[in-house]
Amino acid sequence: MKSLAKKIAAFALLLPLCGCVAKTQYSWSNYDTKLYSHYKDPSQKKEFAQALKETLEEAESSNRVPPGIYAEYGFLMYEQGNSLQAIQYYQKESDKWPESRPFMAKMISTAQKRSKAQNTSTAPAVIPETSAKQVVTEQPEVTK
Amino acid sequence: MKLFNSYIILLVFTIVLSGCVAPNVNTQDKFLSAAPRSILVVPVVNKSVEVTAADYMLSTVSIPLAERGFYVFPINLVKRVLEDDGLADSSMVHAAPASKLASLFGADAVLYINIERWDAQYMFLTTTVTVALDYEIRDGKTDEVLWQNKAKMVYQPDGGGGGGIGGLIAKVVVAAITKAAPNYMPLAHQANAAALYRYSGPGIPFGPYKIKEKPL
Repeated sequence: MKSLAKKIAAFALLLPLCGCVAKTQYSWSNYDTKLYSHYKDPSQKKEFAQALKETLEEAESSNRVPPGIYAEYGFLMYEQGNSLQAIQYYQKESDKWPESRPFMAKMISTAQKRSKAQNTSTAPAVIPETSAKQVVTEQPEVTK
Repeated sequence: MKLFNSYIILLVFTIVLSGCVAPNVNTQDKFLSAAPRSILVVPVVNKSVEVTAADYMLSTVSIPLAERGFYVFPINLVKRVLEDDGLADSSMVHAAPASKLASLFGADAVLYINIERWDAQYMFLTTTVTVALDYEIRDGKTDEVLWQNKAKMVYQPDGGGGGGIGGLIAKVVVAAITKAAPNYMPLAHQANAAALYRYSGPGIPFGPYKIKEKPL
C-alpha cells in the first residue's frame, strides 16, 4: 500500500518533467527567470549582469544566441559605466540581427558620446594616485 | 508519516490546471500580408491590483515570441529607453500610435499586453489563482491591428485528496503555501503558450527565423 502510494507519487513527479525538455531554437539558459529575479529585486544589478553573461557564453558555445540578449547585456555594461564594453555588445547585436540595426545605432551613438565625455573629464584624474583608486573602483572589471 | 508525505505530493500534483482561450476574430491574413520580421514588446498595462504583475509578466514574453521566429527587441532595454523618454507610465505607451513607437526602435510591429486579472482568491481551504491576459499586435507602419488574442488560466488545488485527516491537513498546508506566495508565473507562461502558439486557432504565424522541423 505504501509502495503503491510511492509509485504514484514518483509517476506524478515525472509527468511535469516531460513538458520541460522540449528543445528550443535558441539557448536561453533561463533568461526569463533571470529577468524575473531582476524585476523582483532590481538592486541586484551585478548579479543580473553576471547571469546574462552566463546565458551569452552558453549560447555562443552552441551558436544559438537569442535575439536581444547582446543588447540587454550591453545596456547593463552601460549602466555600470563601461561605455566601451556597452558599444562592443551593441555592435554584436547589430551584426547578428539586422532588425536591431537602427536601434543599436542609436544606443551606440549614446554610449560613444558618454565615452568621449568620460575620457575628457576623467583623463587628468587618473594621474594622481588617490583619485586613480576611485576611478578603478567605479569601473567594473573588464574581462576578455 | 511517510504516507502523509505521499498525500502532500499527490495533492500538489493533482492540481487542476484549466485553461481556456476565448475564440476571437482570426486576423492571420493581415498578419501574413504585413509579414513583420521584428516585434517590439512594450511595457504591460496592469489592470489587476497586484503592482508587481506588469514587470513579472514582461519577463515571460521574449522567449515564446522569439521561439516563434521573430526578432524580439530587448525587453528590459526598451522599457528603460521608454522611461528615459518620459514614457514610464505603460498606459501612456499603449495610448501612443504603434507607428510612433515602432519608428523609435525600427520595429515592424508592436505587441501590447494588458493584464486583466492576476489574483488569488482565498476560500476556507482552497485558493484559486487566476491570470487573464489580452494580447494585440499592431502594424508598425499603418497602426492596423494585425492580430489579437486573449488567454485566461486558472489554478486550483483539487478538492479531492483521499479525505481523512491526512487529506485535510495536506489541504491546509497547500492553501497556506499558496497564500504566502501565490505563484503566477506558470500561469503566465501557459497563457503565452495558449495565446501565441495556437496556430490552428488565433495564434500568431511563424516569423522569419523559425527553423522548420525536418520531416522524419
